[in-house]
Amino acid sequence: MRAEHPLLLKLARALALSEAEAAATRAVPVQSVPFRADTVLAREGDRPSRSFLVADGLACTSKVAAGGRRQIMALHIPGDTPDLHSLHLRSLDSDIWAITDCRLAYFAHADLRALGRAHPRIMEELWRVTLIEAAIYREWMVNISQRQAPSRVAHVFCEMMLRMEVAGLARGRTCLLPITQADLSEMTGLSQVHVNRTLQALREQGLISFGQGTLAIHDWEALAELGDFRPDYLHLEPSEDS
Amino acid sequence: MPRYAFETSDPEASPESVEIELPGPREAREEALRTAAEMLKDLDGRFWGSPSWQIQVTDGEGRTVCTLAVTGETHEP
Repeated sequence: MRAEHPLLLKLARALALSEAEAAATRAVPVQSVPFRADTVLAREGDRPSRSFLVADGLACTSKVAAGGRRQIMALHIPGDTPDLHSLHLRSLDSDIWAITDCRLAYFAHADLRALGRAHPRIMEELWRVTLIEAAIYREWMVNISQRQAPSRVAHVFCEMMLRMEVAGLARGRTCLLPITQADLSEMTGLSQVHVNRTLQALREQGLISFGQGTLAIHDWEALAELGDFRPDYLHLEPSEDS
Repeated sequence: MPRYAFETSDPEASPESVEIELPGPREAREEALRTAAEMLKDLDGRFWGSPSWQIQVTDGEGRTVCTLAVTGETHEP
């Protein structure tokens, strides 16, 4: 059986697609490209004529500040479309990196535009997807500026677990999360030493296991409370119009 | 990259040192300063309960790279 169209899978998660919408989505040409871990997928200043969906693997959006320190602003899991905004904003303002080996599904901007113009509900859904990404960026800004170290790490873990669950990539509050402590440091704006100590504390409190590329949350309620985590900003309910 | 051990005197945390790899002693000192600033911030007002805090960095051969000690004094109004 032919694998289902990656964009169709994404849209169908949020919308009850009509036959015509599904057929039009299926007709969008896809180019599937593999990337190795730790390679750059898109660079600040690029002017892409296509956008991608992460079909497989883990990626991140990041920016290097003067002085060479890197901030990771978002993690991208299968189903995410990290540079979809380039459909409307000509040049990219951040880098996107593969954390693990990745497979990307590319769609030409021209094809996405044509799809959206013919099927406004699909255009609205693509818009909604980028709005949710913006909501996540807002939450991360609060996380890295106002929360203490244990809360920051707990918050990121809760968010990733919930997103993985929604994507069908977690089971029993356990998921693959192959990020290093250095990545976590760049995600939370904390020193590596502080991240290491914070992880030790979370483990000792019996809240999580984290290592060998896997995250397990043993006490969701406690971790969510520690992380000041309220999932509203992820807008997990399907769109109004579906 | 060489490994450096960071040990803090934080009375609330376990005393084991944390080892991480860094390019050299300059980066180790930077990491110590950054860690100190973050950990003191997270201690909030509790620092004033016992206003003395320290972080010490040693290299792979056990030589001390740097020590950073923070002390405070409260003055009754």
